Amino acid sequence: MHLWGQIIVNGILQGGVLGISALAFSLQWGVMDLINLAHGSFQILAAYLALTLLNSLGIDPFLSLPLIFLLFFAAGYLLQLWIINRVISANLFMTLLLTFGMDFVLANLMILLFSADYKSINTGYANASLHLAGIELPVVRLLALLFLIVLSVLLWLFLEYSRTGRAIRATAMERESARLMGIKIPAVYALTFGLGSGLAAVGGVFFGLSNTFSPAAGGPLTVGAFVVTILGGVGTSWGPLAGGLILGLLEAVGSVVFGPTYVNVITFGLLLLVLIIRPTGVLGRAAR
Amino acid sequence: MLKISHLKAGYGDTAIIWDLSLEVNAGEIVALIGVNGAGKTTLLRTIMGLLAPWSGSITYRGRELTGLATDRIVGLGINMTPQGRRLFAGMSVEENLLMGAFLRRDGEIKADLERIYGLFPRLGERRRQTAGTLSGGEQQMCALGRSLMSRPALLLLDEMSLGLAPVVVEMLLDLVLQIREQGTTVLLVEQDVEEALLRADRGYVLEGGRISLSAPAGELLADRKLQEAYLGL
Repeated sequence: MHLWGQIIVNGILQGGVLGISALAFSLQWGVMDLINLAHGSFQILAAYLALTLLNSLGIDPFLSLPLIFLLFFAAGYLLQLWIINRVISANLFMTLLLTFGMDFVLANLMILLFSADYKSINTGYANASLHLAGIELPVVRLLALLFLIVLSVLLWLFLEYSRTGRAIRATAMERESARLMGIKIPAVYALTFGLGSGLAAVGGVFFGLSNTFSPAAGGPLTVGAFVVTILGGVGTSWGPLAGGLILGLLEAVGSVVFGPTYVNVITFGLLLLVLIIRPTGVLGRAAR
Repeated sequence: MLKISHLKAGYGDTAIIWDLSLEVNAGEIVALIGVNGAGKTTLLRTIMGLLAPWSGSITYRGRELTGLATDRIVGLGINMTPQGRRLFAGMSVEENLLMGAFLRRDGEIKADLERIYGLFPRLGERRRQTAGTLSGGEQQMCALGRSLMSRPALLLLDEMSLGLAPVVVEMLLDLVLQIREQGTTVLLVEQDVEEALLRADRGYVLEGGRISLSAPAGELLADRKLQEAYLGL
């Protein structure tokens, strides 16, 4: 009984890390029709940055988190403004190619800078856990889930009620009408990619705190974000939260029932199932 | 107010508009008529900066518009109600209307919102409803209201009547007269040629990307060839 309780809790908590990652991916996809193949490498880079700040300057990852968010926000903003905006109105293949190239460059740059060895961010609390009714709750993953919920709410409030958030939603719904309202689309895109990059970085730091990672870990993270985004529904505010929890739970339960080697089968089986039965995702509305 | 001279524009390698010149004076309602594919929508999109012209000039109150970004053009007081409404389908009616006032920073946005609800009581009743679930006529009202929320000095209306019942079309076009009374100049692209010319001051006929005829609306209505071509008389 406790074993199953523990497995379910593990799954839900793993969903937190997955969800933050997907929050960024889904925002970029939903607003700009941009599938960012470099997403996972952004996250790993953020994890390395947190690791470096901890090892060389002794700054705790939770203290450097706002700084890393801002840094990635700025870098993402400029990257979109100067580079991605040039090809975004071309067909989807062009942005896929561009972000694939970015991923390649980033992954190899990280190998040069940090070597291909596996690393982990060793803080004093990295392995700390709370115990509740015989169930172990790893602190970092608990915080990741908390962050996912808080970030989802903040993002929703921002998109729903701020002037800029409205402009982002309007652009996502009807690009040409948004232009006719006087919205500067390139600026909205830059902001969206910046926001996505910042959120991806936060997810990356949490990933680094709760897993070992190497420069090659970006690919699986991108795929995970992709699956969670489809599961929850592209461009929905609560989709990443729902999708992250569902996938985390299924992976945890599945790897116990069928064995850890079957995790990918479960992930992609679920993806196929959703695409066949409910292509708009769990929380997505039917396409217009 | 708006002066277009020798404009050429199109998509890709295909020119849609050839050497087009026209003028809209302040306070006028000018109707632009022509068959499908004549270049009416292309012209409006070019004025709004959604499409870059190949050559020629568009001036508004003496100022060159070509090369300006759409948000600048909107900021100068020109607005367009696009064909097919193009509402923000997932937003409420009120959010759509507020989007129209996106560039405004004055304190009268709330008052204007009430003014729109006065013009279209149906929108007021449905202000919290998602725009995508409105009927066609209501959607057109919402799109027109959204444009008016920008307080345009010049309003470009693209095919308001498309797919709407005749009663609704008449109601909307009568509203155009009211909009003009309140100081907005209107360039009207309309498939319902007769209803449009009945309310316009002047009209241009667009054929194959060029202006083939330009006359006061009354004369166009009486024109035999035009009657045969567009009015089915």
